[in-house]
This record gives sequence, C-alpha cells and structure tokens, in this order.
Amino acid sequence: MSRSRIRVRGLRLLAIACDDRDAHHLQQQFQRLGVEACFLADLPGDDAFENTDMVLFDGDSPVLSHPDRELAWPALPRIVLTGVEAPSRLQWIIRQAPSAYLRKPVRFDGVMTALTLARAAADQQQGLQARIERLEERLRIRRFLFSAQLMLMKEFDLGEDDAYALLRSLAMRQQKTVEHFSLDLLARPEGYLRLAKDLLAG
Amino acid sequence: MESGKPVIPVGILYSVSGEYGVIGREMLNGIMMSIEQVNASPEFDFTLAPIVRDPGGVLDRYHDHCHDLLYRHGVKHIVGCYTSASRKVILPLIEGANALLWHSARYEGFESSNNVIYLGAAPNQHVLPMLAWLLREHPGDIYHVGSNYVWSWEIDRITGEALAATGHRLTASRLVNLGDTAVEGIIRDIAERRPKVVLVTLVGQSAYRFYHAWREAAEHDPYLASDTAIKLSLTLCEAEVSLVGKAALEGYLVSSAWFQTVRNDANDRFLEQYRTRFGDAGSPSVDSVAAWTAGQFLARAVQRCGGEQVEAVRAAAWRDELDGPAGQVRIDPDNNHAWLTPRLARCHEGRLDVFWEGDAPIKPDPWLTWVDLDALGPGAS
Repeated sequence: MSRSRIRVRGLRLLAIACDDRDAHHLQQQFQRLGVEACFLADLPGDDAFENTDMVLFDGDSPVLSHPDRELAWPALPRIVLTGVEAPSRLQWIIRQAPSAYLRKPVRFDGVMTALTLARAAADQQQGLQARIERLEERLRIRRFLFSAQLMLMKEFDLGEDDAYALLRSLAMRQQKTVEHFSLDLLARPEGYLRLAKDLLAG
Repeated sequence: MESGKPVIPVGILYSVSGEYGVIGREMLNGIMMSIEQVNASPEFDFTLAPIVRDPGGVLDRYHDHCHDLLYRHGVKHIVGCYTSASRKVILPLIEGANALLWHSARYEGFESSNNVIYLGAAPNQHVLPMLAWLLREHPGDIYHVGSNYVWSWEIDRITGEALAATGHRLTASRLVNLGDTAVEGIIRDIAERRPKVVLVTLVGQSAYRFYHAWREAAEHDPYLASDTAIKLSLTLCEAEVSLVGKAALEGYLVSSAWFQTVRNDANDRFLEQYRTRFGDAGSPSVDSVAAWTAGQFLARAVQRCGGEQVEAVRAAAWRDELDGPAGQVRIDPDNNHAWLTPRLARCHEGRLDVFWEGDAPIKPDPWLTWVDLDALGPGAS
C-alpha cells in the first residue's frame, strides 16, 4: 500500500477548531503544498466530509473536548495539533486515534511531514484492517473446513492429509479458497462428491 | 536616572483588566513593589525599568505585547502570564529571542523550558499535598466541579488516579465552559447526592457564581448550609475572598505555597510594605508573592553575574536562595521550577488561616515523574 511518490498536491483537508495564528500559518503552508483546506470552528456533520481526504484539529480545543461530548470522526486520516502535554490531555488525544501530530504553535516546518505521515499511517491502518477482516472471515468459516474434510475422510476412507489435499484441489478447480469451497461442499455435497470421486479415480 | 546606574528594562505582562484582572492587579503590585525595592537599594549596581503592558486576558494581545517588548524595547526578561494558554502563546517568542520569562503562577505542570523560570507551584507542591492530607484525614469519594480547560482536566486525572488506589473514586466530574455562570444545576445535583467532599477547580466568573449560588441554595437546604461537606479549592486567594465576600467562602480548604497568615519575619515585612505601598484596598495573594520573588531573584542574579544576559542570569539564579515571605525558595537547575513549601488553609471570617504546612520546601516535579499517585493514601511512605 506504500505510495512511492511523496506529494500532497490536491489533498482536500478540513481543519477544525484551530486558533487564528495557527490557521494563518497552516493556510500559507497549504497553499505552497497545493493542499485545498477549509477551516471550521467545530466538527461538522457527516455530509461535510464527502469530498475530504484528511482532517486536522486542535487537540487543546475546549470546544471539541468537553467531557460530555463524544466526537464522531469520519474514517479519514487525522492530524492533531498538540500543545499541552499533561497526561489528561494526552489521554483525550489517544481516544481520538490520530494518524499524526503537529506541535503548536504551527510553524512552516513539519506540516509536510505530518500530512505525509498521516496519509501513510492511515493507508497502513486501512491495509491492516482489511487483512484482519479477511482473516476473521476465514477464521469464522474455518470450522466448515473441518466438517468438509471430515466428510471427505468418511466418504472416501481417506486420512486427514489426503482429505485436505483433495479438498484443496477441488477448491482450486472452483477458483475459491479452501474455506469458501468447504461451505459450498457442505451446502450441496452430491455434485462435488461425484467430482471428487472422478478426481481420485483419474 | 539620577542615580547614574545602568538601566535594565524588564517587560511586565500581567492582565489587570479582563476575566482575571483582580488577580493580575495583585501580581502587578508584587513585581512593581519588588522592582521599587531593588531600585531603592544600594545593594544593586543597576536599576530595573519596568515596561508594563496589559493584555486584558486576550491571547492575541499577549503575543503582540510580548513581540513588542522583545523586539521594540529589546527586553531580555519578562515577568508575567497567569493562564497556561497565555504562556503557551508567548513561549515560542521567548524561546526564539532567547529571552527569559519569569512565570509567577502555579500551573498544571508538564512543561520545562530553558527560557522560563517557574516560580509558581507545580502539582506535586500543592495538588498532591492537599490530596494526601484529604486521603489521610477524610478518606472517601470526591465530587469534582471545575472549568473546562487544562487545569481542571489535569486535576481531575490526578485526583481520579490517586483515589483509585484507595478504593474510592470521583463520583462526578462536572466541567463548565470558561466564563459560563449556569451552575445551578450542579448545585442541585450536589444537594441531591450529598457528597462528603467537593473539589472546586472552577476559575473566574464561574467560580464566583458557584460560591454565591451554593450560599443562596443553602438557605433552603440544611446539607448545603452545614459543614458536613468538605469543600476544597486549589485556586482561591485572598484577593478573591475580598471580591466574593467572606460569607460564601466560609469553611473552604485551600492549598497554596503561601497565605497572608504565614508566620515569619520576612512575611511580616512583606505584608507591612505591601499595605504601606498599596493601601488597604490591596490584598496580596500567593501570585503577588511569586511575582515579588521573581523580581528579587532576577535582580540578585543580575547583580551576581554583572549583566542581563540570559544564560548567566539563569545560572546565577540557580545558585541563589531567598529567605522570603513564603519561606526558603530556590530554583531547581533540573527543571527551572522553584522549591516551595506546601501549606493548607481554612477560610474563616474572610481570612485564609494556615492549619498545616510542610516541614521544608519540596523539590519541584513538574512532570510528576518521581511520585506514585497510587501511593498517596494512608500507609504509603
């Protein structure tokens, strides 16, 4: 998932609850980097993020961080501006799951790094998330694989390894994972068992 | 100057107008008295020329005034700030110019700049002593009401962590936005839940309204009127007691490195001089003393090193020790914060009477590195 080119031109960013001086410096730097930024006083509703690639927010803002408030962030990379290093503040920042941070007051250096690292971290996170979902799905249907294997062992009087090898060749012929093919086999055994018999005979 | 002594300009950046102008005024009094004493003393080979600016509690104005002091007036030393937000705004300017900020207010810690001398208490010097006393004398749950900003957030965390180890907890953390005075709902909640301990970290107008609203509600509520609830404050000072009125503050317990009722010769002198200089209208607070102390440390360091250059002044300040109104104070070279003696006082008839004080000054630990919050309770060393 790595991007070989480091360039942020065209990135569309929403900056939330930044103070005027930080916003001014950010805007200047964004312009140089070709980042299209929009500055808002508070977290907007979901619709506002439709054409947005990244979010940036002030981690010390009392507007965002009232204890009675849970922020619903969109699934986008987030950069937090940090000033206060007291643990209570850092605990709150952790809960917002930022992808990168930038120290306040914002100066001109560091903006490019934060944008790049935020995007890379979010890509990596997304990749990991997709992989976890795939693995969880496989884990979920893993028990069907055992049932399918057992079916072949009984039907053809095979040992564990041979039954698994047969299951795998059948799955490959159907261009499916072993797990997904096991589901099909258990749902409609007749046809697949005939095919298996042919394979074994062949 | 008729004295012919060299003049060293010093920037003074306290808000004497705006939200916390009452406290700002007492801090300004403290540093002005200190500078006047330095200038009148034959011990010093120079005079300090204060350049006073009032940012009015507005963050942008702190930035602009600080810039002006550094680059138009060429000051190397600035005494000022009260809130952490204002300090954070000017800190990059101070560091960029390699100047020195003499910061008098207590704060939540978790900062140590080489360009700041921190004369106010760090949390281990006033938050933890109060909690340790409370856990020892009145162990139990705590109801916290504060302002929605870093000071209260951090006190909330520290208190929660310290309580957890004793099997007790924060039963509420009610935070109101800065300047918000709608506190009646919280008072009703307190009256209903009848907590044994109420910790108040509200500041400014929210705090003042809270004290009054409690008193008004107490007219119809025996629990609120009684002294069953232990009320704690980490910010209340003498100037605020005068402002709010003694009736609403009777019984409050306050933690601070100094109170007017501290008994020592230096303090007696300080109070007398303050009264003479500012009249009965002035009521010095711990912040006035810290501002005064800043002036003394600055002047003594300049005298010792023979100039205003920041590195030399800072190093000279590290080697100094002042026997002042708050007892012995010195600057820790590890983190530029002051060693201070913790004290607890009870508000009675409008006076903050000291009822407990530490044996000696405590080393500042602004990052709470060397203390275990879960070992604060009884039985802990």
